[in-house]
Amino acid sequence: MLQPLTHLSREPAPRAPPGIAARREERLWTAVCLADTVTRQELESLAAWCDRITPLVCLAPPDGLLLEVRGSLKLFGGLEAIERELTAKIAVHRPSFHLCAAPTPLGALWLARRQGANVLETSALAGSLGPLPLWVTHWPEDTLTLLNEMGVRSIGDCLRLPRDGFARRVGRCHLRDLDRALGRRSDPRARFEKPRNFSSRIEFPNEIEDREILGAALGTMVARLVDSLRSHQRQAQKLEIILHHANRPPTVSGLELIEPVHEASRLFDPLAARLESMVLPAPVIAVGLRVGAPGPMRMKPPALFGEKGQAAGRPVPKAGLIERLRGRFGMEGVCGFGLAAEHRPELGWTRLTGRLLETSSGRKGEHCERAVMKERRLAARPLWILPSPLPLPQGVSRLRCRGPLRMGLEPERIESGWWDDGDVRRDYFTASASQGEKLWVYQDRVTHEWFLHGLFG
Amino acid sequence: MQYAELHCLSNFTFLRGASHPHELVGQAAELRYAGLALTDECSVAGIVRAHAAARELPLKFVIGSELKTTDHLKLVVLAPNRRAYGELCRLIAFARRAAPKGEYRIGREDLARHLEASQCLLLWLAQASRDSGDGAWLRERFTGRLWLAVELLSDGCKRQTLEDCRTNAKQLGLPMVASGNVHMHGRERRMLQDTLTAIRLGKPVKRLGFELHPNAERVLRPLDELARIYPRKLLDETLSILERIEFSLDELRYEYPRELVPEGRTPTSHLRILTEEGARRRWPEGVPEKVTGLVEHELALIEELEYEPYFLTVHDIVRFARGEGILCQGRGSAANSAVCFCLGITEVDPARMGMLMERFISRERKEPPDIDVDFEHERREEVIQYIYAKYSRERAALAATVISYRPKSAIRDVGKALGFDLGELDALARSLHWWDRGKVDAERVAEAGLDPASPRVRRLLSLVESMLGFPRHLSQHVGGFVISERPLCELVPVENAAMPLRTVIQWDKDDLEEVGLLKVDVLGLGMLSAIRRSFELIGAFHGREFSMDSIPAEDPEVYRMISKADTVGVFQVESRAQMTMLPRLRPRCYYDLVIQIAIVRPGPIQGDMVHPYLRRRNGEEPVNYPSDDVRKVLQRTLGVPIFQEQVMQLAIVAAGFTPGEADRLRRAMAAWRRRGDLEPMEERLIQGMLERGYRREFAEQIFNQIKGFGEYGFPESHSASFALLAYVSAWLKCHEPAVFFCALLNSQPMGFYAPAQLVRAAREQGVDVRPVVVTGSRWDSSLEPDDGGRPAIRLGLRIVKGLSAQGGKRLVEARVEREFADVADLARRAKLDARDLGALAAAGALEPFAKNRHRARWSVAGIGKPAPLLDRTRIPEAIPMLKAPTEGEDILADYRRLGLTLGRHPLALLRGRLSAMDVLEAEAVRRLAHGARVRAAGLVIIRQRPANAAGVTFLTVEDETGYLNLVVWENVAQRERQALLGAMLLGVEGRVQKEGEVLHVIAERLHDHSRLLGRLTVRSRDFR
Repeated sequence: MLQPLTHLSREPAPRAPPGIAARREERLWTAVCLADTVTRQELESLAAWCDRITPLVCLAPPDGLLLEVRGSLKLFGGLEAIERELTAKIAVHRPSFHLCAAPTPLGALWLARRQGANVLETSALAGSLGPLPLWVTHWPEDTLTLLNEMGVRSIGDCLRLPRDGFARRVGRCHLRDLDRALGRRSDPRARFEKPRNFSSRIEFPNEIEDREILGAALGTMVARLVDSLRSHQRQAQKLEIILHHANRPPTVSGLELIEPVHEASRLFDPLAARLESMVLPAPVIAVGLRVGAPGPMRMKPPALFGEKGQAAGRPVPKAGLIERLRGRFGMEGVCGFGLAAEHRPELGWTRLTGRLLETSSGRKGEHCERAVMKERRLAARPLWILPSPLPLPQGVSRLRCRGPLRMGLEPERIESGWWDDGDVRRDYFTASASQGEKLWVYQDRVTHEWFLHGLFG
Repeated sequence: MQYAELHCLSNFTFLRGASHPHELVGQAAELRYAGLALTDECSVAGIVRAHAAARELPLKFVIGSELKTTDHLKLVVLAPNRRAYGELCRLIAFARRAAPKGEYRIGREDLARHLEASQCLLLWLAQASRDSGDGAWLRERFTGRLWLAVELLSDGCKRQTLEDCRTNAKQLGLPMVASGNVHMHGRERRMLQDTLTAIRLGKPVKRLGFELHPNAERVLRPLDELARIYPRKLLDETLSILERIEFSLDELRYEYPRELVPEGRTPTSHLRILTEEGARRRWPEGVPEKVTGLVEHELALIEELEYEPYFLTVHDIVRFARGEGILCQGRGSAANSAVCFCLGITEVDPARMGMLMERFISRERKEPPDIDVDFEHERREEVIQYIYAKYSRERAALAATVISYRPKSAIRDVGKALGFDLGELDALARSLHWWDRGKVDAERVAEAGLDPASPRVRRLLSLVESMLGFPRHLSQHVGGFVISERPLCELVPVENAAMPLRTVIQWDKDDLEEVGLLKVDVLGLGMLSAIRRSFELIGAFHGREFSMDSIPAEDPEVYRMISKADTVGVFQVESRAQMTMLPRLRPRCYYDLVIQIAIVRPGPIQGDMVHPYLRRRNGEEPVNYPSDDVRKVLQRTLGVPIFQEQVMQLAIVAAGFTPGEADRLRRAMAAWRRRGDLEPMEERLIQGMLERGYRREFAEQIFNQIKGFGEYGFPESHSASFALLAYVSAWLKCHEPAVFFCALLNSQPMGFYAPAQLVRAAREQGVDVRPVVVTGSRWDSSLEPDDGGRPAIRLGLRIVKGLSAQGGKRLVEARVEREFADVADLARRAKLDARDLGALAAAGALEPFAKNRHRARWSVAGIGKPAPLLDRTRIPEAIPMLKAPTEGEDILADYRRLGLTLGRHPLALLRGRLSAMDVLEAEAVRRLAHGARVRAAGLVIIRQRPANAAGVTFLTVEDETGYLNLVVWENVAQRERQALLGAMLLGVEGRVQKEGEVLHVIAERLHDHSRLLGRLTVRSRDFR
């Protein structure tokens, strides 16, 4: 039995309820297709910018964005104006991209990928999409090969095939894609949500110089912030206090916490300390609080017997103190001291600005052996290393440094650092000076010159 | 003061040791050490090389190994005598077999079990972080042969370390000994050692921190320095250990397997009986007297050298293969003897060659004879399994191949360690495309976007350079089997290979040769498969038995064909270089083929032996010999040394080398490109020839030829066997072309040409080649009679890409039962899945059932998985509106799914556009005169860049009228790199070079026209 010819383009498509259809009819999508590969991040930052054109922006990874522009036509004065706006923005970063508008998101995207012309009417879609080669669909390679082997090279070729046969062979989901592109099927898409920055601001009726009032305002803002963080399941780590003045640029001061938090006390104390240490160059008319890039909330499960000191290696107990100190003295004002895994003594320690405490990770076996050796070696080293080695005048028979030196017997040989142009080849000795000071000196193995590198306590 | 280093790692402790074994040995001797132990971590892979290097030096070489148990007990185990060496090998084999390839695993109890009753000496590498429980445990088991090793490495804690050791030793009552934990032979390897650490740990050097050694003290230190560091007593103790060591690798006595000799016979009598039986089989009407004499002579020689078990072993393997119907052919020094002919190891009739066995085996040089046996490549595994089954895995194993760092891998690994980003390294590694062998030059570096003058790039390049040739891991040799009477692992440890069920020994084939172990090469050869298939096809089609013996010798028609270079598919002489030489050399007899095969090799070409030989052969140059001795050696090749054996013999007769020295010359020849230590040989050779009254000019010419030979010299013994297969395959091609090409198609992949060129050659010879169809094709290509009753080739289902072998075979079985009614019937009865059906449709094999390929693809795509109940129901469907394929589309689909087309050549379709670009057809180019300017284009079939050809690239391109050979000189290749390497359809502008019938186009510009082809994929075969 032969079935009546029901080709993709002729069969009445599944109909949506009339109300929705009517609204959908009104939509107009502009697709942005970036020719080269982009990272998800780039795509998101562009999408975030696009919200000045329309509130409905969707990501179409890997290469595109979709903007619903019907509502914005009037505001911008037509599609061309919108395209101009977009072009001006994108062209700064991307040499090649293409824009295309169509009544369906998929239609717009496919056309944009092939640099097609704008299509404004749903009825014109089939005609415009027809000649497009199939790669614009980004269907899987297997599907495209299959279609190619059937001699099906374009969207139009697809549309000429029987619907049921197409669905059985190529896949129902691809048939759905075709329907969506042609506007015969709704194509709901997730709106792109911009990552939120939490900020709040309190304006004062008159100019304020009283820090107590500022503090109270800060308290209010922190309370709001905590609510807001809770409701969005976020945590804050970077914070900024902004003091607005009448006739001059605002005073801004930033603070970075040791770890992301959402508790009021952890937020308020360092902020209050910070506020207290801020210099007010002029009376304040408004105060603001801004949180940069809040992260998702991560809660530790509470320990059965209350908070245990260094659970999960997080420096919790001292954190509050450090943050308060940082609030008072600034980020650079409080820093830690750590050991670096490096044989060259001058690079063997580091200043820690982020975390203050270095947690040493214990290892087993051979590494354990190494750790023991390391400890021994470090024990033999002075605490005070000179910022740069001091050349020692060389006496006829003996080295001198404020008098003759008595050299220790055990050299420690260090030959390391060739990979960063800082290669050293040295023999280190402990030496006693005439006054009884213990010195750490070395002889360069290349030049044979002597240097003072450290003093024992 | 004297000292022996007893803890030293070479680069066979992969990614830890930073010096080659010979470097360590050389340096230790230089520093006047009394001895050196090579103690690679759970390995003896480097000891043969070290032993060979130490042989001529005043240095006692000791074998040992560093081991670490799973609970971090660290020891150095030394082998003082033969028995202990066997125990050490067993221990290493045990630890290696218990872990995946490249790793080892040994528990404390295993260690105790293996070493408790052994005679091995142990150095305990005590660690400061561990309590002395280890020491007590060790002392309890190994008293009297256990030392506490003291390693002082200038780390600033010498006093404390020494103190700790003293306390420890005192408590346990152990003697202390100095050792150096040596990782490199000289301090200059410090950077490389750090880099290796980084590669091993998979981190950049700058992030390694304390994982790096703090200094370069893990080096062979001068004696005076050691005297300053160690107490005298500890240094002296090394010598007392050294005194206890009596073992040298020279003691290894290898025993041939004995079970091949039946009760009551000696190996000698058994070999004689087998040989005589064979001779009667070869000459049923009576063995010619000449042969009897030859056999007697050879048997006497074999008896004298005690080589009987070797011949018997090979004979046994060959006998098995014959019994299974596996075609095989021996080659190598001893293979082309009358004895081997009688034993069936070779088919080369000694009468035809007139060679003396002494030409291959020397009486004085007591090295094992060398017989490689080629088997059909698809059935070699059966032979391997037979050997394992017969001798057990204890007694038979494959030799290893040491995989070393090459420029590409070295750049990647070193680059990552130095923190280069992957993009940069890829660019650099890619710019060293597969044919830039051996060196990294600044231009390439700049091309990859790196500044060759910047310190970081300079560091990269210098490290890469010292890293080249460093062993990276052990892989399995292609087929070198070691078989012994006693368990192998007492001779050398066995370890796991990457392939499951495969084990390899820790030595490679050079090492085996050095210590004189028997090795039989069991190799795979595609041509043997093809020849066996040809015989079967002849049997089936013509109904006559056919074998190697049935092929008439010295058929002039065959030589006529060969001389015309009509040799696509013929063994050995089908390469492009061979083809250009054939019309000049015009082989007329078997021995001409032997020469032809050996002469078109990098060795003779580089040694400039080809042209003198050609001129002499054509009578354009007189043939003269400086002496009668030389005449004897060179007469058969008209005074030009072509074979490796001739070079060695020349060294003996003209320069007074002993056979042993000549053999060393051969090895030096093979290695000089890598090591470059040929000078002493040069002096000795030239001096020797001058002393014997030869002119300096002649001497130097000979030496240069030897140097040119290098590692590429080809032995006559191999050439002789190859020539036989070349003749057999040429005879088949000449007289049974359909059979021959059909067999070749079924033996793919092999040889020089892809199926497309084979089919083309077959059709040019008038063979009817028919397309793949489901109603007629078998799995393999097959023969069917054409109208005249002559055989035509029906292409087999195997060439359909994407069709599974099981699917294809089920299809044929189902068809034998009953012809297919339609596609659905086919799918159902052959139980084909969507992938198989798709492959058949796209290949055009469903043609009898569907109007065209597109329609076929549509209809098979609609056949879902068969549902058991609805087996025969059909879903009624509308007829789709599908366009019929154009000719171009059909050709593209053919190439994509079959790799060849029986339709027109794709370039025929593009001819209009190509003509508009003034591109000539290959046919037209061939008619041009020498020196004419030309534009041509074709599909790239073969790219070749022989290592010896001074940067020249040879390409073969094909269009609808034939082939063109292109020559691309280095400078053009540099400029047109992109097109040269990337193009499928290559356009060329250049000049015609014509020499007799040989035509080349010398390329001046290249163009990549591939986009004209659409989605056609032609894969060229790229050769180095």
